[in-house]
Amino acid sequence: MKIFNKYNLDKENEITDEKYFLNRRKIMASAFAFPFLINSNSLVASQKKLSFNKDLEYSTNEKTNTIKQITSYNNFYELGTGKRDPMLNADKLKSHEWKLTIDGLVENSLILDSDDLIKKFQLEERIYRLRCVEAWSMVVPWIGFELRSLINLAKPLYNAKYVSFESILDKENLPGQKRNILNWPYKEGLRMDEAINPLTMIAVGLYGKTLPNQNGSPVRLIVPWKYGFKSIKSIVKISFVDQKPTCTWNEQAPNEYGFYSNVNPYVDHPRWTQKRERRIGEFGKRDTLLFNGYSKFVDNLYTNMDLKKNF
Amino acid sequence: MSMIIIILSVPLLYFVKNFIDRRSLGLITFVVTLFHFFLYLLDNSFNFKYIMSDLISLWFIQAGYLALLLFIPLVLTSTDKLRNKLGNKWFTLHRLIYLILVLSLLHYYLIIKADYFLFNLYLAILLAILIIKRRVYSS
Repeated sequence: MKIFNKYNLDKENEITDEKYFLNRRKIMASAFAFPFLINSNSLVASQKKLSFNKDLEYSTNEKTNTIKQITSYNNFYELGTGKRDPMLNADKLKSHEWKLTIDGLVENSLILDSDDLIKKFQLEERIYRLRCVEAWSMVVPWIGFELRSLINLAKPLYNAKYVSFESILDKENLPGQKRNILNWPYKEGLRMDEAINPLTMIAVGLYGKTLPNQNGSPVRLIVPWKYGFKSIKSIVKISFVDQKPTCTWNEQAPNEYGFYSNVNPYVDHPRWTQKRERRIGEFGKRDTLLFNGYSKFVDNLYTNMDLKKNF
Repeated sequence: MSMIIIILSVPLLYFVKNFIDRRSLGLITFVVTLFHFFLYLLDNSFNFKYIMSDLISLWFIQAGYLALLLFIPLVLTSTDKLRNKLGNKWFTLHRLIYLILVLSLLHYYLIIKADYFLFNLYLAILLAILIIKRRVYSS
Protein backbone atom coordinates (compact mmCIF):
# COMPACT_ATOMS: atom_id res chain seq x y z
CA MET A 1 0.00 0.00 0.00
CA LYS A 2 1.17 3.49 -0.76
CA ILE A 3 0.95 4.81 2.75
CA PHE A 4 3.52 2.37 4.08
CA ASN A 5 6.21 2.79 1.46
CA LYS A 6 9.86 3.08 2.30
CA TYR A 7 9.96 6.82 1.92
CA ASN A 8 7.37 7.35 4.63
CA LEU A 9 9.07 5.00 7.02
CA ASP A 10 12.41 6.75 6.62
CA LYS A 11 10.77 10.06 7.12
CA GLU A 12 9.14 8.87 10.25
CA ASN A 13 12.48 7.71 11.62
CA GLU A 14 13.90 11.17 11.08
CA ILE A 15 11.30 12.92 13.11
CA THR A 16 10.72 10.35 15.82
CA ASP A 17 13.14 9.73 18.62
CA GLU A 18 14.15 6.09 18.37
CA LYS A 19 13.21 5.48 21.99
CA TYR A 20 9.61 6.45 21.34
CA PHE A 21 9.62 4.60 18.08
CA LEU A 22 10.70 1.37 19.72
CA ASN A 23 8.28 1.89 22.56
CA ARG A 24 5.49 2.37 20.07
CA ARG A 25 6.49 -0.86 18.36
CA LYS A 26 6.31 -2.63 21.68
CA ILE A 27 2.85 -1.22 22.29
CA MET A 28 1.75 -2.33 18.84
CA ALA A 29 3.28 -5.74 19.39
CA SER A 30 1.35 -6.24 22.58
CA ALA A 31 -1.82 -4.86 21.03
CA PHE A 32 -1.65 -7.44 18.27
CA ALA A 33 -0.55 -10.22 20.55
CA PHE A 34 -2.06 -13.55 19.69
CA PRO A 35 -1.75 -16.57 21.95
CA PHE A 36 -0.77 -18.92 19.16
CA LEU A 37 2.18 -16.90 17.90
CA ILE A 38 4.42 -16.67 20.85
CA ASN A 39 8.16 -16.47 21.19
CA SER A 40 8.95 -16.54 24.83
CA ASN A 41 12.16 -14.64 25.43
CA SER A 42 12.10 -13.57 29.04
CA LEU A 43 12.53 -16.87 30.83
CA VAL A 44 15.54 -15.63 32.67
CA ALA A 45 17.82 -18.09 34.40
CA SER A 46 17.24 -16.52 37.80
CA GLN A 47 14.91 -19.33 38.82
CA LYS A 48 16.30 -21.81 41.29
CA LYS A 49 15.81 -25.55 41.09
CA LEU A 50 13.63 -26.95 43.86
CA SER A 51 13.51 -30.35 45.50
CA PHE A 52 10.04 -31.74 45.96
CA ASN A 53 7.82 -34.82 46.16
CA LYS A 54 5.23 -35.66 43.58
CA ASP A 55 1.66 -35.64 44.81
CA LEU A 56 -0.67 -38.30 43.45
CA GLU A 57 -3.75 -37.74 45.56
CA TYR A 58 -4.92 -34.41 44.21
CA SER A 59 -3.06 -34.13 40.91
CA THR A 60 -4.77 -34.58 37.59
CA ASN A 61 -3.21 -36.88 35.02
CA GLU A 62 -4.25 -34.61 32.16
CA LYS A 63 -1.59 -33.37 29.82
CA THR A 64 0.12 -30.31 31.30
CA ASN A 65 0.49 -27.10 29.33
CA THR A 66 4.01 -26.27 28.21
CA ILE A 67 6.20 -23.90 30.21
CA LYS A 68 6.07 -21.59 27.21
CA GLN A 69 2.27 -21.44 27.32
CA ILE A 70 2.17 -21.02 31.09
CA THR A 71 4.69 -18.18 31.08
CA SER A 72 3.46 -16.23 28.05
CA TYR A 73 -0.32 -16.17 28.43
CA ASN A 74 -1.05 -14.53 31.76
CA ASN A 75 -3.40 -12.19 33.53
CA PHE A 76 -1.29 -10.16 35.94
CA TYR A 77 -2.55 -6.60 35.61
CA GLU A 78 0.31 -5.24 37.74
CA LEU A 79 2.52 -6.04 34.75
CA GLY A 80 0.05 -4.89 32.08
CA THR A 81 -3.36 -5.95 30.83
CA GLY A 82 -2.35 -7.72 27.61
CA LYS A 83 -1.88 -11.48 27.75
CA ARG A 84 1.81 -11.20 26.84
CA ASP A 85 2.47 -8.09 28.92
CA PRO A 86 3.35 -9.99 32.12
CA MET A 87 6.05 -11.87 30.18
CA LEU A 88 7.34 -8.75 28.44
CA ASN A 89 7.41 -6.72 31.68
CA ALA A 90 8.44 -9.58 33.97
CA ASP A 91 11.63 -7.83 35.08
CA LYS A 92 9.60 -4.92 36.49
CA LEU A 93 8.52 -7.06 39.43
CA LYS A 94 11.20 -6.84 42.12
CA SER A 95 10.73 -10.26 43.65
CA HIS A 96 14.07 -10.72 45.40
CA GLU A 97 14.41 -10.09 49.15
CA TRP A 98 10.74 -10.77 49.64
CA LYS A 99 8.96 -10.52 52.98
CA LEU A 100 5.68 -12.29 53.57
CA THR A 101 3.90 -11.11 56.72
CA ILE A 102 1.33 -13.30 58.46
CA ASP A 103 -0.66 -11.40 61.05
CA GLY A 104 -4.11 -10.58 62.39
CA LEU A 105 -6.05 -12.88 64.70
CA VAL A 106 -3.22 -15.37 65.29
CA GLU A 107 -1.12 -16.62 68.16
CA ASN A 108 2.09 -16.49 66.14
CA SER A 109 2.61 -13.58 63.79
CA LEU A 110 5.25 -14.54 61.26
CA ILE A 111 7.49 -12.94 58.73
CA LEU A 112 8.84 -15.30 56.09
CA ASP A 113 11.52 -14.41 53.57
CA SER A 114 12.09 -15.96 50.14
CA ASP A 115 14.40 -18.57 51.63
CA ASP A 116 11.94 -19.64 54.34
CA LEU A 117 9.29 -20.09 51.70
CA ILE A 118 11.22 -22.79 49.89
CA LYS A 119 12.95 -24.38 52.92
CA LYS A 120 10.54 -24.26 55.84
CA PHE A 121 7.96 -26.54 54.25
CA GLN A 122 8.05 -29.90 52.55
CA LEU A 123 7.42 -28.99 48.93
CA GLU A 124 5.36 -31.10 46.60
CA GLU A 125 4.36 -30.93 42.98
CA ARG A 126 0.66 -30.75 42.27
CA ILE A 127 -0.79 -30.79 38.80
CA TYR A 128 -3.93 -28.70 38.89
CA ARG A 129 -6.40 -27.41 36.35
CA LEU A 130 -6.63 -23.63 36.27
CA ARG A 131 -9.85 -22.09 34.95
CA CYS A 132 -9.86 -18.35 34.21
CA VAL A 133 -13.06 -16.30 34.54
CA GLU A 134 -12.43 -15.31 30.90
CA ALA A 135 -13.30 -18.90 29.86
CA TRP A 136 -9.86 -20.31 29.12
CA SER A 137 -7.98 -22.95 31.07
CA MET A 138 -4.63 -24.64 31.52
CA VAL A 139 -3.11 -27.57 33.39
CA VAL A 140 -0.17 -26.47 35.52
CA PRO A 141 2.41 -28.42 37.57
CA TRP A 142 2.72 -26.13 40.61
CA ILE A 143 5.22 -26.69 43.39
CA GLY A 144 4.38 -25.62 46.90
CA PHE A 145 2.69 -26.68 50.12
CA GLU A 146 -0.81 -26.73 51.56
CA LEU A 147 -1.96 -23.41 52.95
CA ARG A 148 -3.12 -25.28 56.05
CA SER A 149 0.47 -26.10 57.04
CA LEU A 150 1.16 -22.37 57.13
CA ILE A 151 -2.08 -21.83 59.06
CA ASN A 152 -0.97 -24.47 61.59
CA LEU A 153 2.23 -22.51 62.16
CA ALA A 154 0.40 -19.22 62.68
CA LYS A 155 -2.25 -20.76 64.98
CA PRO A 156 -5.30 -18.59 64.26
CA LEU A 157 -7.53 -17.57 67.19
CA TYR A 158 -11.05 -18.96 67.54
CA ASN A 159 -12.59 -15.75 66.14
CA ALA A 160 -10.61 -15.82 62.89
CA LYS A 161 -13.29 -16.55 60.29
CA TYR A 162 -11.63 -15.44 57.08
CA VAL A 163 -8.16 -15.21 55.57
CA SER A 164 -7.28 -12.08 53.64
CA PHE A 165 -4.42 -11.86 51.14
CA GLU A 166 -2.67 -8.79 49.84
CA SER A 167 -0.37 -8.49 46.84
CA ILE A 168 2.60 -6.20 46.22
CA LEU A 169 2.15 -2.42 45.89
CA ASP A 170 4.98 -0.81 43.92
CA LYS A 171 3.68 2.08 41.81
CA GLU A 172 7.20 3.11 40.90
CA ASN A 173 8.17 -0.10 39.15
CA LEU A 174 5.02 -1.98 38.24
CA PRO A 175 3.74 -0.58 34.93
CA GLY A 176 0.13 -1.66 35.57
CA GLN A 177 -0.02 0.21 38.87
CA LYS A 178 0.79 3.52 37.19
CA ARG A 179 -2.87 3.65 36.17
CA ASN A 180 -5.82 2.99 38.46
CA ILE A 181 -7.17 0.06 36.45
CA LEU A 182 -7.95 -1.71 39.72
CA ASN A 183 -7.89 -0.48 43.29
CA TRP A 184 -4.25 -1.36 44.10
CA PRO A 185 -2.91 -3.33 45.85
CA TYR A 186 -4.71 -6.46 44.64
CA LYS A 187 -6.55 -8.22 47.47
CA GLU A 188 -8.26 -11.57 47.82
CA GLY A 189 -9.92 -13.58 50.54
CA LEU A 190 -11.11 -17.03 51.54
CA ARG A 191 -13.40 -18.38 54.20
CA MET A 192 -11.43 -20.26 56.88
CA ASP A 193 -12.82 -23.66 55.87
CA GLU A 194 -11.84 -22.96 52.25
CA ALA A 195 -8.37 -21.93 53.36
CA ILE A 196 -7.75 -25.16 55.29
CA ASN A 197 -9.09 -27.39 52.52
CA PRO A 198 -6.19 -29.65 51.46
CA LEU A 199 -6.55 -28.51 47.83
CA THR A 200 -5.72 -24.92 48.74
CA MET A 201 -2.08 -24.43 48.10
CA ILE A 202 0.69 -21.88 48.46
CA ALA A 203 2.82 -22.17 45.33
CA VAL A 204 6.46 -21.14 45.19
CA GLY A 205 7.43 -22.98 42.03
CA LEU A 206 6.47 -24.20 38.61
CA TYR A 207 7.93 -26.98 36.45
CA GLY A 208 10.61 -27.84 39.01
CA LYS A 209 11.92 -24.33 39.58
CA THR A 210 10.96 -21.24 41.59
CA LEU A 211 8.13 -19.19 40.10
CA PRO A 212 8.81 -16.96 37.11
CA ASN A 213 7.83 -13.34 37.85
CA GLN A 214 4.88 -13.37 35.46
CA ASN A 215 3.35 -16.28 37.37
CA GLY A 216 3.37 -14.44 40.69
CA SER A 217 6.88 -14.86 42.05
CA PRO A 218 7.92 -15.59 44.72
CA VAL A 219 4.77 -16.78 46.47
CA ARG A 220 1.17 -17.11 45.34
CA LEU A 221 -2.10 -18.75 46.24
CA ILE A 222 -3.66 -21.61 44.25
CA VAL A 223 -7.36 -22.35 44.72
CA PRO A 224 -8.08 -24.71 41.82
CA TRP A 225 -11.87 -24.93 42.21
CA LYS A 226 -12.28 -21.16 41.94
CA TYR A 227 -11.74 -18.82 38.99
CA GLY A 228 -8.09 -17.93 38.50
CA PHE A 229 -8.35 -14.38 39.84
CA LYS A 230 -8.91 -15.78 43.36
CA SER A 231 -5.41 -17.30 43.18
CA ILE A 232 -3.64 -14.07 44.10
CA LYS A 233 -0.03 -13.60 42.94
CA SER A 234 3.07 -12.17 44.64
CA ILE A 235 1.61 -12.09 48.15
CA VAL A 236 3.13 -9.76 50.75
CA LYS A 237 0.57 -10.17 53.52
CA ILE A 238 -1.77 -12.84 54.84
CA SER A 239 -4.12 -11.69 57.61
CA PHE A 240 -6.58 -13.65 59.69
CA VAL A 241 -9.74 -11.61 60.20
CA ASP A 242 -13.27 -11.94 61.58
CA GLN A 243 -15.09 -10.22 58.72
CA LYS A 244 -15.41 -10.93 55.03
CA PRO A 245 -12.32 -9.33 53.49
CA THR A 246 -12.19 -7.03 50.48
CA CYS A 247 -11.55 -8.78 47.19
CA THR A 248 -10.37 -6.60 44.34
CA TRP A 249 -12.52 -7.92 41.47
CA ASN A 250 -15.54 -8.17 43.72
CA GLU A 251 -14.99 -4.54 44.69
CA GLN A 252 -14.55 -3.57 41.02
CA ALA A 253 -17.81 -5.16 39.81
CA PRO A 254 -19.80 -6.88 42.58
CA ASN A 255 -22.51 -8.07 40.18
CA GLU A 256 -19.95 -9.81 37.95
CA TYR A 257 -17.39 -11.27 40.36
CA GLY A 258 -18.65 -12.69 43.63
CA PHE A 259 -16.74 -13.35 46.84
CA TYR A 260 -16.83 -17.10 46.27
CA SER A 261 -16.26 -17.16 42.50
CA ASN A 262 -16.36 -20.94 42.36
CA VAL A 263 -16.04 -22.34 38.87
CA ASN A 264 -19.65 -23.00 37.92
CA PRO A 265 -20.96 -23.74 34.41
CA TYR A 266 -24.53 -23.10 35.62
CA VAL A 267 -23.88 -19.49 36.61
CA ASP A 268 -22.85 -17.35 33.67
CA HIS A 269 -20.90 -14.15 33.87
CA PRO A 270 -23.45 -11.39 33.08
CA ARG A 271 -21.70 -10.65 29.78
CA TRP A 272 -20.36 -14.02 28.67
CA THR A 273 -20.92 -17.73 29.19
CA GLN A 274 -19.12 -19.97 31.67
CA LYS A 275 -20.50 -23.21 30.22
CA ARG A 276 -17.44 -23.87 28.10
CA GLU A 277 -13.76 -23.09 28.10
CA ARG A 278 -10.83 -23.06 25.74
CA ARG A 279 -7.93 -25.17 26.96
CA ILE A 280 -4.85 -23.23 25.86
CA GLY A 281 -3.15 -25.19 23.09
CA GLU A 282 -6.29 -27.08 22.14
CA PHE A 283 -8.59 -26.63 19.20
CA GLY A 284 -12.21 -25.76 19.93
CA LYS A 285 -13.91 -25.73 23.33
CA ARG A 286 -14.54 -28.17 26.13
CA ASP A 287 -17.30 -28.21 28.73
CA THR A 288 -16.57 -26.50 32.04
CA LEU A 289 -16.98 -28.70 35.11
CA LEU A 290 -18.63 -27.70 38.38
CA PHE A 291 -15.92 -26.61 40.85
CA ASN A 292 -13.50 -27.09 37.96
CA GLY A 293 -13.79 -30.86 38.43
CA TYR A 294 -12.88 -30.77 42.14
CA SER A 295 -16.42 -31.41 43.52
CA LYS A 296 -15.26 -34.53 45.32
CA PHE A 297 -13.01 -32.43 47.57
CA VAL A 298 -15.03 -29.25 48.02
CA ASP A 299 -18.77 -29.67 47.65
CA ASN A 300 -19.13 -30.26 51.40
CA LEU A 301 -18.03 -26.62 51.86
CA TYR A 302 -21.16 -25.34 50.16
CA THR A 303 -23.99 -27.58 51.32
CA ASN A 304 -27.20 -25.61 51.93
CA MET A 305 -25.79 -22.68 50.00
CA ASP A 306 -27.51 -21.30 46.92
CA LEU A 307 -24.59 -21.10 44.50
CA LYS A 308 -26.61 -18.90 42.14
CA LYS A 309 -26.92 -16.24 44.85
CA ASN A 310 -23.50 -16.84 46.37
CA PHE A 311 -21.62 -16.85 43.08
CA MET B 1 -6.89 -8.96 16.61
CA SER B 2 -9.28 -8.77 13.71
CA MET B 3 -11.52 -6.64 15.89
CA ILE B 4 -8.77 -4.03 16.09
CA ILE B 5 -8.31 -4.05 12.35
CA ILE B 6 -12.02 -3.62 11.79
CA ILE B 7 -12.34 -0.76 14.21
CA LEU B 8 -9.32 0.96 12.78
CA SER B 9 -10.15 0.40 9.15
CA VAL B 10 -13.71 1.66 9.32
CA PRO B 11 -12.60 5.24 9.90
CA LEU B 12 -9.84 4.75 7.35
CA LEU B 13 -12.66 4.99 4.84
CA TYR B 14 -12.63 8.74 5.33
CA PHE B 15 -9.05 9.19 6.28
CA VAL B 16 -7.30 7.99 3.17
CA LYS B 17 -10.00 8.52 0.63
CA ASN B 18 -7.62 10.33 -1.68
CA PHE B 19 -5.14 7.48 -1.51
CA ILE B 20 -7.23 4.43 -2.08
CA ASP B 21 -10.82 4.27 -3.07
CA ARG B 22 -13.24 3.93 -0.21
CA ARG B 23 -15.14 1.08 -1.77
CA SER B 24 -12.13 -1.26 -1.70
CA LEU B 25 -11.50 -0.42 1.93
CA GLY B 26 -15.14 -1.01 2.76
CA LEU B 27 -15.03 -4.41 1.07
CA ILE B 28 -11.76 -5.32 2.78
CA THR B 29 -13.36 -4.40 6.10
CA PHE B 30 -16.28 -6.69 5.30
CA VAL B 31 -13.98 -9.58 4.38
CA VAL B 32 -12.03 -9.13 7.63
CA THR B 33 -15.32 -9.07 9.53
CA LEU B 34 -16.41 -12.29 7.81
CA PHE B 35 -13.08 -13.89 8.71
CA HIS B 36 -13.52 -12.80 12.33
CA PHE B 37 -16.99 -14.40 12.29
CA PHE B 38 -15.58 -17.56 10.71
CA LEU B 39 -12.94 -17.80 13.47
CA TYR B 40 -15.67 -17.49 16.07
CA LEU B 41 -17.62 -20.35 14.43
CA LEU B 42 -14.45 -22.43 14.17
CA ASP B 43 -13.64 -21.76 17.81
CA ASN B 44 -17.03 -23.25 18.66
CA SER B 45 -16.38 -26.22 16.33
CA PHE B 46 -19.42 -25.13 14.27
CA ASN B 47 -21.57 -26.57 17.05
CA PHE B 48 -25.11 -25.33 16.32
CA LYS B 49 -26.22 -25.66 19.95
CA TYR B 50 -23.33 -23.59 21.30
CA ILE B 51 -23.68 -20.91 18.66
CA MET B 52 -27.44 -20.60 19.15
CA SER B 53 -27.16 -20.35 22.92
CA ASP B 54 -24.59 -17.57 22.49
CA LEU B 55 -26.88 -15.75 20.06
CA ILE B 56 -29.84 -16.00 22.40
CA SER B 57 -28.13 -14.96 25.59
CA LEU B 58 -25.09 -12.77 24.99
CA TRP B 59 -25.33 -9.07 24.25
CA PHE B 60 -21.89 -8.72 22.78
CA ILE B 61 -22.61 -11.57 20.36
CA GLN B 62 -25.91 -9.98 19.37
CA ALA B 63 -24.21 -6.66 18.67
CA GLY B 64 -21.71 -8.50 16.47
CA TYR B 65 -24.41 -10.29 14.46
CA LEU B 66 -26.37 -7.10 13.95
CA ALA B 67 -23.29 -5.26 12.70
CA LEU B 68 -22.52 -8.10 10.29
CA LEU B 69 -26.10 -8.22 9.01
CA LEU B 70 -26.24 -4.47 8.44
CA PHE B 71 -23.01 -4.71 6.50
CA ILE B 72 -24.54 -7.04 3.89
CA PRO B 73 -26.80 -4.49 2.10
CA LEU B 74 -23.84 -2.13 1.88
CA VAL B 75 -21.75 -4.79 0.15
CA LEU B 76 -24.59 -5.79 -2.17
CA THR B 77 -25.16 -2.22 -3.30
CA SER B 78 -21.51 -1.41 -3.80
CA THR B 79 -21.44 -1.80 -7.58
CA ASP B 80 -21.39 1.29 -9.84
CA LYS B 81 -24.56 0.15 -11.50
CA LEU B 82 -26.59 -0.04 -8.31
CA ARG B 83 -25.04 3.10 -6.97
CA ASN B 84 -26.22 5.08 -9.99
CA LYS B 85 -29.58 3.42 -9.95
CA LEU B 86 -30.27 4.21 -6.30
CA GLY B 87 -29.11 7.82 -6.53
CA ASN B 88 -29.66 9.72 -3.31
CA LYS B 89 -31.08 6.67 -1.61
CA TRP B 90 -27.66 5.05 -1.91
CA PHE B 91 -26.10 7.71 0.30
CA THR B 92 -28.86 7.39 2.88
CA LEU B 93 -28.44 3.61 2.92
CA HIS B 94 -24.68 3.81 3.29
CA ARG B 95 -24.98 5.98 6.39
CA LEU B 96 -25.65 2.61 8.04
CA ILE B 97 -21.86 2.44 8.42
CA TYR B 98 -22.19 4.78 11.42
CA LEU B 99 -24.58 2.37 13.09
CA ILE B 100 -22.22 -0.53 12.25
CA LEU B 101 -19.41 1.47 13.81
CA VAL B 102 -21.36 1.99 17.04
CA LEU B 103 -22.28 -1.71 17.15
CA SER B 104 -18.68 -2.82 16.61
CA LEU B 105 -17.54 -0.55 19.42
CA LEU B 106 -20.24 -2.02 21.65
CA HIS B 107 -19.20 -5.54 20.59
CA TYR B 108 -15.72 -4.73 21.93
CA TYR B 109 -16.78 -2.68 24.97
CA LEU B 110 -18.91 -5.49 26.35
CA ILE B 111 -16.02 -7.92 26.77
CA ILE B 112 -13.65 -5.57 28.57
CA LYS B 113 -13.06 -6.45 32.21
CA ALA B 114 -11.37 -3.38 33.64
CA ASP B 115 -8.87 -1.74 31.30
CA TYR B 116 -10.66 0.67 28.98
CA PHE B 117 -7.47 2.34 27.74
CA LEU B 118 -7.44 0.89 24.22
CA PHE B 119 -11.18 1.34 23.89
CA ASN B 120 -10.91 4.99 24.87
CA LEU B 121 -8.05 5.41 22.44
CA TYR B 122 -10.13 4.04 19.55
CA LEU B 123 -13.05 6.18 20.59
CA ALA B 124 -10.89 9.30 20.69
CA ILE B 125 -9.42 8.57 17.26
CA LEU B 126 -12.86 7.96 15.80
CA LEU B 127 -14.35 11.11 17.29
CA ALA B 128 -11.42 13.15 16.05
CA ILE B 129 -11.86 11.78 12.54
CA LEU B 130 -15.59 12.43 12.57
CA ILE B 131 -15.09 16.02 13.74
CA ILE B 132 -12.43 16.67 11.10
CA LYS B 133 -14.63 15.14 8.46
CA ARG B 134 -17.55 17.34 9.43
CA ARG B 135 -15.43 20.48 9.30
CA VAL B 136 -13.99 19.60 5.92
CA TYR B 137 -17.43 18.97 4.46
CA SER B 138 -19.07 22.06 5.90
CA SER B 139 -16.37 24.49 4.81
